[in-house]
This record gives sequence, structure tokens and C-alpha cells, in this order.
Amino acid sequence: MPSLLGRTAQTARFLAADPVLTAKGGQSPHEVIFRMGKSALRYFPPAGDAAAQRPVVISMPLINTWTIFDLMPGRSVIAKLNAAGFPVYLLDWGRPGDEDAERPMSYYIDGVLGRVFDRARRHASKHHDTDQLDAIGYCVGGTFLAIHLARHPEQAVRAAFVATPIDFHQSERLARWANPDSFPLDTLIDSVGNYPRDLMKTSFQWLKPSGMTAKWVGLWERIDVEGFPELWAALEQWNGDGVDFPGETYREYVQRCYLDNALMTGGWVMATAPVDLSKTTIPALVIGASRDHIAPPASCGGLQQVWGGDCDVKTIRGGHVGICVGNTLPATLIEWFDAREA
Amino acid sequence: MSDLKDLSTEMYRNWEQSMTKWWDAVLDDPQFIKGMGDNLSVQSRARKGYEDQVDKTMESMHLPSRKDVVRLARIASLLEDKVLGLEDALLDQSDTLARVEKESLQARVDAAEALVTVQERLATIDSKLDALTEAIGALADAKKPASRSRSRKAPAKKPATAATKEG
Repeated sequence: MPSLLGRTAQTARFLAADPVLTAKGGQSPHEVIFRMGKSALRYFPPAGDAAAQRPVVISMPLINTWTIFDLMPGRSVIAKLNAAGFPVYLLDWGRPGDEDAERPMSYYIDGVLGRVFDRARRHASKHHDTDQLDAIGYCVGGTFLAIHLARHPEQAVRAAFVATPIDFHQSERLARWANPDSFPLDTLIDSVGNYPRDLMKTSFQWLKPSGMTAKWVGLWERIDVEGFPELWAALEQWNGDGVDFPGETYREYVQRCYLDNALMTGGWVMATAPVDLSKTTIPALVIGASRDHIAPPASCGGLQQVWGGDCDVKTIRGGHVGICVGNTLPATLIEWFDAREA
Repeated sequence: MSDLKDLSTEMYRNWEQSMTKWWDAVLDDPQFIKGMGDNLSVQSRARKGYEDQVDKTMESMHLPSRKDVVRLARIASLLEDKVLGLEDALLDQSDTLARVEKESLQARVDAAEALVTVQERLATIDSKLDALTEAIGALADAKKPASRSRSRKAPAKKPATAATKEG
């Protein structure tokens, strides 16, 4: 075990090499099979010649890059799903620009997700001899997926929602902040267009201010643990690589989800069709993270009350991001898909 | 040294705990939240004012402003939407064609199968006809010697009849 000074020197040496700049996620072999606007559908083939499992479409959140599911070798949800025989189709929303500021939420939920499922199904039909798909959604990507499946129940056979907020009034501090009396939603979007990534990052940091010092102390404490400094750098790189949230979509998302809590209370009409999660009957799995301060387990568990199909709920140890780089999340997903009949 | 490390870690944990309590009180305070909201509102208006000013400056210098670039990008997006709409229509057409092709292939297979069945039935009928013809031939053959023998006996009878008549 290094001494106090030795540990500090080792940490300084590690940081001096600028490891965050060189870290790069999304290294698992894959190809882009479809593009729409800034979005891309990435296909990760299963290990071996033939798929042992039904292909799965993954909907990632709009507020960060998709690489958190493929952060680095040994820390990749996608690689583990591939190894278990799942062909993976991942929806990367890309980096919206100013020209996307006026896109409504229905563009992403009906337009992009609709085409992504269509193209994934065509690809799976050609390469894996099946036109049935499963689905996984993470964070906001899960919320979007749930709404999409409620509007188009034929798209997937089963769905798993990872750290996906549904009952937004259970979102603790975020729900308290997203208060119509104090949060200038309309002024903000009318002024800046897209919700800026820097503001998003700062907001999340201030949800838990201790995290800003804890990450440095954590690195110092575990600088000698094999693989930890590299993981720390990869997470830092991902965390700093945010994307802007399309303005009009953000306005509708915050208004309907955080302010009205419309997924729980109803009354949300999107592009002339109602948003009603009870309209689908496919089985669902809800995975909450025990120390999640962005989508707390109570917020994720809300799905059980409003989902039209059977709904299993599991809580795994970790934080909102931490669960994506551990082994428990892929193992839980694989176990559920193996055991759960459609 | 290990003790020192433990000590510093413990000190940090204590500090973190007390700071977390303090931050919790501040960050959940309605007045603080309202103040943050007001601040955000002012900042975003200021940013819009600045960006509008930059756009005006660019325009006065006859240079493309951010708004112009955004307008062009939106036109490109609209074009892409149209292309994607066409791609969807083409894929649907291709699905329809594939279905029609599959159905016509099935119809050809069905027709070929039906033809084979008809041919088989014809062959069966043919062979039955052959058998019948053979049977008829055999019957005819069988009748011929009989009629021939009858015709051979008949002249023998005739004189008898004649004899009877005569008698």
C-alpha cells in the first residue's frame, strides 16, 4: 500500500498524463445501419455465428452520449449482451444543433424511434431470421421508449427500463427544483433554444454537491486499485461530453413530466394521440439503482402502477451512472430476458 | 503513514457529512431555489441579447449569421425528411413486391403441383384405359376362338337341321 505522500504523487502523476483526454468509449465493434438527422442506429453483432437470443433495441438518453453502455473493455453492457448472444441495435440520438431546437417531442418518440424499430426489424429479419424485437431503455431514453411502446405496442415483445424516471414527482431534489414558480422554463427555452449541455452538467453536479469533491478523493483513495484510475478517467471523459437537449422537446418533457407528472396522472396528448402507458400489454422489467439521485427507485417504480402489461421491479446497488459500468446490470437484464416469457 | 491516510480519510468523511447537511438545507430552501431561477432567467435573457447583437453585427458586415446557418441547416433537415419519406415509401413498395413475389411463387408452386396431380391422374386414367383396353382385347380374344369354334360346329349342325327339316 503506498504511503500518504506516495499515493498523492501517484495521483498527481496519473492526472498529469491527461488520462481524460485520451479515454474513449464506444470501442466495441459495430456498424451504423441507419441515420436520421443527428440520430444513428448502431448494430453490434452477437458473439459467435448465430444469435442465441432475440435482438434487442436500446434507447439511450438524449442528455449524454451513448458510450456509457460501452465505456471500456470489461465495462460494457453491450459487450456483455453480445457475449450472451443478443444482437444489439443501439439508438444514438447524436448531438442536436440549433436547427433541431424546434423539433417537438413527437419527432423523437414517433419519428426517430419508429424508424429505428422499423430498420432494426428489417435488419434482424435479414440477418437473424426474426422480426421480433426486445427493448431496453436507459434514463430519459427509457421514458421515451415507454411512451413509444404505449403508442406502438407492436414494436417490441418485452421491454426493460433501466433507471427510468416515470413518477417524476418522486424525483426528490430535481422535482423540487422543477417548480413552475421558480424554474423559468419558457424564458429559458425562448432565449437559448436548446437546453445547454453545460447548464445540464452543472444542474446535475449541484444535485449532489459532495460528488464534486468525492470523485477526487475517490481517485486518490483507489489510485492503486488495478483498473480503477482508467475507469475513473473514462467516466470523467463521458461526464464531460454532454449534448444539448433540443429546446421544444425539453419544454414539453419538463412541462409534462416534471411539472404535470402526466405519465402518472394522464391527460397528455402528443401530436393528436394520447400518451397512456396502460395501452401496452407487453411484459416489462424496471431496474432502479439504490443510490440514484436523478431517477430514484421510487420514481422508476411508478411504471408498475401505470404499465398495461406485467411489470417486474428490481433494485440493484449503485448510482445512476455507476450501475452501467458494473456487472450486475447486464447480468440482471440477461437473467430476466432468459426467464421471462413474452 | 497508513494511519495518516486513515486519519485524512476520516477527516474528509466528517467534513463531507457536515457539508452535505449544509448543502441539503441550502439547496432545498425555496428562497434559494427561487433565487437560482431568477438568476437563470436573467442569464438566459442576457445570452439571447448577446446572440442577437452578434447576429446584427454579422448582418451589418454582410456575413452569414448564426440564424442564416440555422435556416440552411433546417432546409437540409426538411430535405432529409423528404428523402426519408421516400425511403419509407420505397421500403413499403419493396415489401409489397416481396409479398407479391412470394405469393406469385407460391401460386406457381401450387399450379405446378396441380399440374403434377392432373398429370398423375391422367396417367392413372391412361393406365386404367390401357388395362381396360387390354381386358377388352383379352375378352375379344377369348370370344373369338369361342365364336370360331361355334362357327366350326355350326356347319355340323346345319345338316342335322336340314335333316330335321328334311325329315
